[in-house]
Amino acid sequence: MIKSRAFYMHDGTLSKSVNFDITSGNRSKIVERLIMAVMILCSLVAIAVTIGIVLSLLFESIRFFEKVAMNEFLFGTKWSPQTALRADQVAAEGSFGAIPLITGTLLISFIAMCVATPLGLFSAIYLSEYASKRTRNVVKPLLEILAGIPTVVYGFFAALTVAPLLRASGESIGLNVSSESALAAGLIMGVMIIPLISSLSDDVINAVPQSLRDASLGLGSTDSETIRRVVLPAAIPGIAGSLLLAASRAIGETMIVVMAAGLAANLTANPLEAVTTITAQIVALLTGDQEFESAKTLSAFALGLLLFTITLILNMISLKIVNKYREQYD
Amino acid sequence: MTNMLTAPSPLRKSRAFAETRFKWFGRIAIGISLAFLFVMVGSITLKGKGALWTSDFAITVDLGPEEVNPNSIDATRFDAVMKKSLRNTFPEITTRKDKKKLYGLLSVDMGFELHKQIRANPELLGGPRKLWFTASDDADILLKGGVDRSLPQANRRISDLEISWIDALSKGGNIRTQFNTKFFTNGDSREPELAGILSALMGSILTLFVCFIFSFPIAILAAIYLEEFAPKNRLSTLIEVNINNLAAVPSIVFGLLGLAMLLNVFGLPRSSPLVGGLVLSLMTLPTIIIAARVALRAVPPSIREAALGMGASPVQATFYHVAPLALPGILTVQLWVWHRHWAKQHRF
Repeated sequence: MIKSRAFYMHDGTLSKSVNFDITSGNRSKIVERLIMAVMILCSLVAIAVTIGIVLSLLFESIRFFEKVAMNEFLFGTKWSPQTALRADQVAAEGSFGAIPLITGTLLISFIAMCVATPLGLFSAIYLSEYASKRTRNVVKPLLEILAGIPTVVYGFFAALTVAPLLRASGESIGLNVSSESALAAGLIMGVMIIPLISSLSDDVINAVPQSLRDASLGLGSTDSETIRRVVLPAAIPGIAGSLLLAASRAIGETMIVVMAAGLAANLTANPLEAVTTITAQIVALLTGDQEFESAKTLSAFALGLLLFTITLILNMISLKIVNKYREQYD
Repeated sequence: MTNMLTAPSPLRKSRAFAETRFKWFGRIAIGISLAFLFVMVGSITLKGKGALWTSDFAITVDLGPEEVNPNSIDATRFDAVMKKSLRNTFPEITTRKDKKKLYGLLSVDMGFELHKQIRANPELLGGPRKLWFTASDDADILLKGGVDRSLPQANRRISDLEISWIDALSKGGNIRTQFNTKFFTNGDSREPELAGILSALMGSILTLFVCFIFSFPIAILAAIYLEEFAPKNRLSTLIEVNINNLAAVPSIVFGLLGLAMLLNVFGLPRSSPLVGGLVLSLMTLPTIIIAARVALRAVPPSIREAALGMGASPVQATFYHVAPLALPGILTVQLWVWHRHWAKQHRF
């Protein structure tokens, strides 16, 4: 085919250059196969990463569980991960009970969701159902800036502005607010996930067919009645999925809690006290130089495995819900 | 009848009220979210802008031949010269403790600064000269208005005596405020007045560079394969589910992967941009793949069909026609992803 094209052109140079083209002869098949192979390899990298994560977490965790019983890790209520320098040291054993970390993580994430759910959801409803095109074009990018701010900046803001503010206002009404309270970290984490909730639920609300709205409006209901009784019920599964995704993001968030939450493991449900989270502890455990073999270092991997499992389950459920819902109306 | 339609019934009133209330919920939600954005940006700007300015003191330094030997400038103990000049500026100070405080008025780098100025301009030598030196952080904060003078002396970092010296310098016109170029040209330091962001910035740029080199080609090839060529079988479904899940894995888990795999198994050096960049590229991979697939999907099928109709093979059609059209979209997303990972911290 290449030869015949060169024949029509009556152009020696062109036909010569065409011969270098990857379509010429057997070479093309080899090159194309090579390209395909490279592309398949590249897509397999994603699977390799997942396997790598699972294996590395699993192996180090198994080594950790050789030193500390799994029961103690999963159900213990005391977390003080020190390793002994001398045998006769006070509290030489160290205790690795993850319960206070889990409750701390859940407390901060819960506060974050309490902040982000109403704000994100109402923003999404207003933007998709009421706002004019001009407002949308201004407000949506502004909200997305919130998603683009690095989380270190959020942490900085939480630790240096919000936490002292909460402490001062708590003192003025006679409350004792810790300067590393769960409230400050959770509040700012909530602000961080507002855009995630609003943009995901915006997509879901927009996917509800217009015919449902038209029917409801035609029967005489107002805009808000249509939204509350028709659009939202139809969008609920998708919204639930986006909320789960946001929750998993909050649980896995690191920098905000490293900067604004405490490091002492506290088993409490009081948002005014300092609590610590799984991610903050992983960072604290791995900061600085320490021997890799100690239970202290290895416990970071056990915590990582715990975190990975929790977020993976949340993600799987939410992705399934969101995808199923999308197909329903497509 | 007409009355029923025109006069607002209580039901209609309450429905209208519910409507407005619902609308306002939305407006308030957006307002609060945006207020957070503005307060945060505002507070960080206000807190950070002080770092862009630095205060200098003018001190008369005797650079006569008995202080600095013009033939062996580098052998001079410039710190001692500076201390002597400071003592001469405030001759009333006699006790050892106060003298130490006096030296603390200037940054610890004062000797180097003098040396540098003489090197840059050897004509300074020969007599007393008035030169500018960086103020210490405590003096700088005082000049920027960060110290409450009404507090008792014990509660501030700077004593009444030091304040009186700074006021005296100020009266003589010996203080100036300047744009803080050191902030952009110095590395990190334990002395706040000398600290800069250059080393941290270089680290970020190097890490991002490594991240780009690895993640961009791999992600785009994977996206092209999945979008254009992958048969609908169990393997491609598995890859797809995998990528979606990876995109939502917390970043710290990737950090742990880097620690266990790259550092312990492969033995790469700690704290190097290579390791950080590699982990970041693994982390950004799923996000870029997802975004690149959206960009590829946006290329109209007519382009593909036309290329195939002209006799191009599927690989040619994709690489010569579809991918170039999708590239701008992919690059935009790439930039966005980077900007998100710009400040991610890792434990290496």
